[in-house]
Amino acid sequence: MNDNDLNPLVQLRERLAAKPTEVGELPDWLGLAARAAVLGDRASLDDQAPEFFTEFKVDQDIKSWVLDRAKEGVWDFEHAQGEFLAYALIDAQDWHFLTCLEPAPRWLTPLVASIIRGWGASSRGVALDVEAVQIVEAYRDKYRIDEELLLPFVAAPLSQQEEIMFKRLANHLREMRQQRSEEPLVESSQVVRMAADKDLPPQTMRWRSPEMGFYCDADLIHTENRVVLTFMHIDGSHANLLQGLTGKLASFPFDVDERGSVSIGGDVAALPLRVTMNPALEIGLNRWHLIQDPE
Amino acid sequence: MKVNEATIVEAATPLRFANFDRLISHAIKHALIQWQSERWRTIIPIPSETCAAARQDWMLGHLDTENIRQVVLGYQQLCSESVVALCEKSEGHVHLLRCQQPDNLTELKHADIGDRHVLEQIIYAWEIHRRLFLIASMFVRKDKPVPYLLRTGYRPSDRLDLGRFRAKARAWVQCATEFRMFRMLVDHGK
Repeated sequence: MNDNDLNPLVQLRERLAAKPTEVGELPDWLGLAARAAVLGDRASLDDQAPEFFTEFKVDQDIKSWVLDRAKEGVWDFEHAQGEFLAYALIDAQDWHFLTCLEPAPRWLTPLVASIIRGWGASSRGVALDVEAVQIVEAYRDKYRIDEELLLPFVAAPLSQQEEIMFKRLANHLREMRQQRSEEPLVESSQVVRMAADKDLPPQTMRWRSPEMGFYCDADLIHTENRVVLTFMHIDGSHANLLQGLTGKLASFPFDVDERGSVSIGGDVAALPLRVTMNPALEIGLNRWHLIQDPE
Repeated sequence: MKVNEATIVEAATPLRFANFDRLISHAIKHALIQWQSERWRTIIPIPSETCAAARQDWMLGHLDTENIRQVVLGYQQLCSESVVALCEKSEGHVHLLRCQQPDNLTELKHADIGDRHVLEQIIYAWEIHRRLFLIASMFVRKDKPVPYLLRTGYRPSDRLDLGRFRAKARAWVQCATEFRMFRMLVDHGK
């Protein structure tokens, strides 16, 4: 055994050398190629993947093919448990890398990228058990990929028990803050519905959400058929948002710009909004706290 | 027993989960009661009325009922029969070994893996007709194996065709060897 045997990229190259022999093997091969690409070796992804797409006739309708893979992955999130759940999460993370590459692969259209992002984002409500957490941690620790490229459940996997403890603490903090406040509370869905109302003129409303010891303000602007939410810390600095979510995001495409603004399309009214402030903390903003009337 | 001395042990007797809590947790999550129970009713050897009644019990928060007991035991029986049948036919499964690991990975470079002690032999199986993924494991205590225990039985999406189902099973076995550091003992899946 030599040092190369333990080099993750060398191991990946060896596995990528075993080319897919049928279309069913292509998704897993492509995930490995994406993993190798974020580790610095894009050869498989850029040179070989397009050839396989042609060979297996995937390039005739790549969007449908990717959508089927995303549905397969979301199914696993909802049904699998233990180590199978961990493997499903690793699949999603590998595909998510495709959306992080600069430049993006030529075949990765914005629509296909948004499907892949939706796949990763739909893992948000998944309850991990201890077994799944251990495997996801092993994956994260082995490859040591830049944390910014990791989905939250890989960057900081939490078991269901840890999450329950975390949420209890969050609820406790929220109740303490609400007790100190006299302003009325509104549901996040009301906020989003107001912002989505085309009859209202473009406006900015300022809300504050006390949860998990964080405060952030949200500016809501509706432009055409989309809602744009910009989250800021109470000190005026932009919140470091990695993802903005509305319920099952797979059917609600969203974009996050470099400032952390979340742009949501589709029928977003009446959906609970959830926001990730950093990889370690996912915050369910179920109730928003009005601190200032619409200007 | 060291890795070099390990022999293939097939699952031959009816298997069960390690305890009832683990069984019920997997049975509930894996589609029996909580999700898409219709898919399982057709393959679990109990009347569909019992499944429906168990689902009702579960929705009311009652887990300690005869209906639920029958459903989860049916799930266990299905998983057990599938693993044993695949072992008998020597198809659709692999045997992996979990062995003692060094405290740090630098030792791993120089150590001979064949000299490590085997802690567990694990079967990863995939049953094509019912589209089932299964895991069973057998601990090795004082060089003597103890009976296999079921770890899980999972049905992936119905939308997977046969080729994708097989490839997914293979990919997840690969994940097990990579992230759980299992060693392949024999491949009965080819």
